[in-house]
Amino acid sequence: MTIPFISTNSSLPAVSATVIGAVLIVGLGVTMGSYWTVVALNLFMWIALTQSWSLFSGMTGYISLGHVVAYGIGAYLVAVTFKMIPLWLSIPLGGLAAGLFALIVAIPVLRVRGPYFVILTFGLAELVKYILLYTETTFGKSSRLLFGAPKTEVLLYWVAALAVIATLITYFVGRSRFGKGLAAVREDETAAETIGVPVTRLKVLAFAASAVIPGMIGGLMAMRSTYFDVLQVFNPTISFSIVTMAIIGGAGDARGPILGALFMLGLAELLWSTAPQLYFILLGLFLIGFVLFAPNGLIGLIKRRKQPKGSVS
Amino acid sequence: MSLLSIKSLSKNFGGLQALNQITLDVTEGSVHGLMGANGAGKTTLFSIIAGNQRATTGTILFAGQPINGLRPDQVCKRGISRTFQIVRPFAGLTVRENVEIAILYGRQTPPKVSEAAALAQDILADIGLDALSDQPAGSLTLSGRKRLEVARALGTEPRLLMLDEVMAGLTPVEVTDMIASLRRVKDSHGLTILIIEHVMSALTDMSDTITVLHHGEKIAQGTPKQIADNAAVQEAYFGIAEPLEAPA
Repeated sequence: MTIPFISTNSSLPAVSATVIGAVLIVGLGVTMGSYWTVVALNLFMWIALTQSWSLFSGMTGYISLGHVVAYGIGAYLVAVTFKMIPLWLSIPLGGLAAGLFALIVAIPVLRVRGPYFVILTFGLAELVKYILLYTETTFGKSSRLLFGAPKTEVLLYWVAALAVIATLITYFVGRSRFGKGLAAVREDETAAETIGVPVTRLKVLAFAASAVIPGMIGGLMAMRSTYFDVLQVFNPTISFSIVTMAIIGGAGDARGPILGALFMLGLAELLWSTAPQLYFILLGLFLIGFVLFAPNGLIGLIKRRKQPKGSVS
Repeated sequence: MSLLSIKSLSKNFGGLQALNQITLDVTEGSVHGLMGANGAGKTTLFSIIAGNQRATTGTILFAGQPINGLRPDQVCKRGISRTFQIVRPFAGLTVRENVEIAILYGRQTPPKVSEAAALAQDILADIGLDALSDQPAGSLTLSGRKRLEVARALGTEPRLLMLDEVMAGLTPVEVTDMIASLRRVKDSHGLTILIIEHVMSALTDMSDTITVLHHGEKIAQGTPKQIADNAAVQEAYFGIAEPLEAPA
């Protein structure tokens, strides 16, 4: 996977397309009734999560299978402080807490690469889940009801805004000095540090940054379900879905996670209610197919069609 | 004046003494050759200077400042750049992007991101890779990859360039080209070069001074001519020369 470094043309079209697209979908979601409001909410949630994941894992090649931990920590902070501090404060705090957690664990966790890193991030998320579950049950709070949460439309505005911000961050980081350093880390860490790239600092920063928006999303989605349950907000399926969307859409390019989220939600809308078994069978087949035949995802396929073979960027 | 000054440097890997009390001075503006058989400790010495490995004991001064214990990226910013014997291109990025990253991170005062591409193109022209700058680095031939190692090292604007066998595996024509390119960039960038090379003709051709390592010890130092005539070097490379005895 290559990050496009075509930074000569202005970024205005990409930025405006992202914002206009998001506003249109929000408008459609709200006007077409509550069902579609929820569909739009889910779409933006997955875009924000996958985009944030891509900021770290897509750019550095360290595949995190524990990104739900950020989501869960954000949800937990918002649920615990619900009605004590206002949401406009607790949701950013949830993001901050997730980022802080990532910053603290980054140094030990980022010492390992490849499959070890994948397993470690997965294990870490499970560890946090069970520690919180134990804490909550000890204090007799296995789940918390959150009465008086904002309406779905309000949550949609927040989540859509975060999806736009996450997309723009991935887009701009990809063409920045920071992004180029991360690409060097992905390609060869020893060579990178030998030509002056502060490898550890870049990895830690990207890891922490990629947790902030998922933390805020977690807080918002806890409001959406109107109750907080540790097992639900730390569900590893969320991590798996993020990685699946990134693989199908393609990581390392800001358009990839959008395509991945659209593809998976489209498939779910078509089949979920009518043929749920078929949905999972197809999802599995698509995942295998993409890994084998289109490792750079949908965005890789589009780029390949646009360019004659042999030429690059 | 010596740009790089190594004093009593030793490195142990467990029980193995890879380098033993090496003292070495590299004169500013010179080409200093390092020779020795496989396992003599040449690449280990490079790795320690560049910060990829730590010395067990000893000090390294660069431009009068100690650089022991600095991380590789910090050593690079001080003005030392190395190439790798086993080339390590960023294979998934283009040739130009490889050099751009070196320009953006290796220099003490990096240029703007928008200026890096043009600067990279200049360096690639210096080293004869400019026609391939849009190709993925992974598609280069060995000769191209060796050149890219040099171009990327130059991107960091080094004062001291350490070349680890950049001519190994090249054809004689490619070796001649590489020597010409190195001479050119040495003059245009005002470089000091420390070079490991097994292609002996290239080493003697380029070096002002040669240091010979053998089993981690420095056994000789001098001009290429002095080294060729040195008894200890001959012994290390060819064994002890015993006079033939006339049959009784």
